[in-house]
Amino acid sequence: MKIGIIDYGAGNINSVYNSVYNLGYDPIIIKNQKDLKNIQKIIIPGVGSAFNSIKIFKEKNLFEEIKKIINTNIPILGICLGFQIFSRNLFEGGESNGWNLINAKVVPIDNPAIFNIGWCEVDIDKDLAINIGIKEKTNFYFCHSYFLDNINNQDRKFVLGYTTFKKKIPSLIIKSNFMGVQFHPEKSQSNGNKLLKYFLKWQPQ
Amino acid sequence: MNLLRIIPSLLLSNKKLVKGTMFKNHKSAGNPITTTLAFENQGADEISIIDIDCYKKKDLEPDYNTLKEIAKFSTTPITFGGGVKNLTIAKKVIRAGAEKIYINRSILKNKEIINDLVKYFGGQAVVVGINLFKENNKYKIYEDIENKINLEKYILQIQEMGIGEIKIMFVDREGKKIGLDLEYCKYLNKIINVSCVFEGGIGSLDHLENAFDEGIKAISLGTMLIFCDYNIVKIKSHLLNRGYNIRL
Amino acid sequence: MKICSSCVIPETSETLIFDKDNKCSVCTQIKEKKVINWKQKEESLDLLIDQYRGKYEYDCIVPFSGGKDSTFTLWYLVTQKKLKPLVVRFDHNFYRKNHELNVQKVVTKLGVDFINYKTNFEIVKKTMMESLIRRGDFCWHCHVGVSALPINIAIEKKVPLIFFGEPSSEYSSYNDYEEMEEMDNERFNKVSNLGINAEDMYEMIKERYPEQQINIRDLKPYMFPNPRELVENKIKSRFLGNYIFWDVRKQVEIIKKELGWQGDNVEGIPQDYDYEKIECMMQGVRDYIKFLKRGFGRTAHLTSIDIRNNRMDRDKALDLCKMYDDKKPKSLDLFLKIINISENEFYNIVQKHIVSPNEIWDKEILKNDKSKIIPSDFDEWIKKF
Repeated sequence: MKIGIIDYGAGNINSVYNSVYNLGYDPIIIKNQKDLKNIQKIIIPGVGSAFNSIKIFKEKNLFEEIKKIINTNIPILGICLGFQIFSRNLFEGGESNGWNLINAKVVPIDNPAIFNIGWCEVDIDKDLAINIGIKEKTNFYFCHSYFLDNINNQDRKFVLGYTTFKKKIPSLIIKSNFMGVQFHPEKSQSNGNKLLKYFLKWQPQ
Repeated sequence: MNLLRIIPSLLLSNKKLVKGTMFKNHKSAGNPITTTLAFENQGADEISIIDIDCYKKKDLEPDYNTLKEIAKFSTTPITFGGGVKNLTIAKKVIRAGAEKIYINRSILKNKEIINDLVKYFGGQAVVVGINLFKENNKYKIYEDIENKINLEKYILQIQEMGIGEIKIMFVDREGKKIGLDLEYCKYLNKIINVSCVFEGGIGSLDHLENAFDEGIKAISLGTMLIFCDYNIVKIKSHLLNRGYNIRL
Repeated sequence: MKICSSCVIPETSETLIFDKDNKCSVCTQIKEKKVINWKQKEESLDLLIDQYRGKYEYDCIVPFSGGKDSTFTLWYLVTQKKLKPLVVRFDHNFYRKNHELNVQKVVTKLGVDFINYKTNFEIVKKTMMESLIRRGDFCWHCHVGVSALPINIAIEKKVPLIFFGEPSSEYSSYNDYEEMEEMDNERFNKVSNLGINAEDMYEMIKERYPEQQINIRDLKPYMFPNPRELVENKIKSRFLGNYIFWDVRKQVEIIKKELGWQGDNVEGIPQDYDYEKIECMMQGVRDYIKFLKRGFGRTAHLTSIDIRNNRMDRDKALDLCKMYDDKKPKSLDLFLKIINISENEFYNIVQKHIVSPNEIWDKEILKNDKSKIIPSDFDEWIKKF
């Protein structure tokens, strides 16, 4: 299976690469458009500032390419910032537009800015938890200061996991061929590995 | 809400792990790759690694290769530092597999680098370390030989710059298993408004309980894990038994 | 120091969590054992076995010490499931004479291929000293050897299925009965190796014995594969106790009857527990150290298992613990000779590892509280070393 991990500069691709590799797969790194050819699964990691990162995506001609893959049968996993870019607009570092798969905006958790760094308990939809092989309340590692807010009513049903950190934070979304997580599965030890394993076997309807 | 954190503290020297007392008399602490994986499997919430060779030789860059090897099997956030003097080095460290950058000595004379790191990686990726030493009943920054830096002012300044975390190390307590200086931690917690990790002197489960009771949210352990029979699973079971908000 | 209200294990035990009635998690999880659908579990065992039967040089690897659990596991897989195993024993250098007879009997009667792997004793002694100092537990080489060796042989011989025996949920709360246990890196680092891998031990003993020219190859038998190697080689390790209802006393009766397996007298426990840890000369010292550190020994462990299986009441258990657990074993003399330290040094090292809230003891008092039990083959042990 051809699994691609998108490299957009600040993202910590090695951690994600290693996690996938240690589960027995051989992912490739996607640096530009042509690397996307024949890709069967995509992972978009996320460490960095939204404005800068989206700028780099566009510079590498990847922004439009990934937008085309939404709503196809190629599963996409977005992690942290890689998850937030699927919203409508983002405000970190300046205002920018995301891929708008989820109608929401990405804003600071609080003012003055605070970081949610550390392990938080995520409440996960019961059936999904069973399928992944984790408990309904499971800990994952978070590292962010912005979150998805104002998710419009139609998209709310796709949120299958929430955590609480000053606010109710959408942490796991599955819509169409997109799975997005606010936390870092590649940094969440065995819980994270189970989620990655699940994504790597996942075929969206 | 974030759970309390237990963070093994590893010191890297010549591709091997070492651990000492009051920054001296370093003894072997094992192989960095297998030790990191062992602590992770036991449930460490994060791992902290400092390359101490960079403190001995000024122009040395951190050991990216060993970090890469460690990162190969790591599934836990790693904070890595020692010798991070500019953005270029920081980029290499993140690229090699660290989640967060630890900077300490490089900013004592010039804090500018903090701005570069925060702007590029976001504040959550920047951890500023401060080594404290008690002299004449007062705490000063360990490396500040001439005692010029006002600690409180220093902390307030770096916090303004948007960093995500501060790590305090009580150098005069390292390796002694006498517990943290809780009175002083209480005082620091009043001025520090970012996430804070404390290290130096923890040697027993009581020390941990007392620290968490004082409102400390994250503790780094060295000697207790390396030279004693404390397994992170056991530490956390004990804390969970006593009702602390920790993850097993 | 809190003691479980149901069994007699205190809070100093590694993974115990107490509920509001002061009942420990092991006592609580034992109830699960009774409600598990063991028929379904056995069916999944059969499904598992079908995937591997006849497809490789051996159907599976069975890690074997010759003790009650691995003997039962081997008997079960060979006679009840008709498997062709490769039997693998890590030889820690301290096996007792009667035990060796058991091993020969079992292996001969069951008709299996058997590998005994003994490691360099000069290195073993150094690891014993190092792990005693760092962890207050000198058995590192054995903990690591019995876990790592079968996995390494599985990779070498390309026999991916491995069957361990006793589920850890019988005595600890690392896993509960529902979870499928595996011998992966997580278990190895959490449960088996005291947090020390072979690569770490190598650095540590090199530092302590610099003139000895120790080479990383000397530690090779103790190395555990990395996560990717396990996946690449499709290693599947399983615990028989996750598929069948584990009942120690019943299983001992079976192996005694079917294979002529014999018990032996063992230091520090009531003598009718003749099936527990009979294979190791150092078991008495090991259990004594556990008592010194944690305030309970093997009698507490064994009587607690009996309590949980409704075979003993708590008061009797407490009495037995008082009688047996705190006595200094005869084998301590031999241990000190092998490691080359004095009795005082021994107590001083172990004292550093007392697990809170167990209280600090006075070694002068303990020194004189000697056990009256002397294993029948003790003279042979002295001869060996």
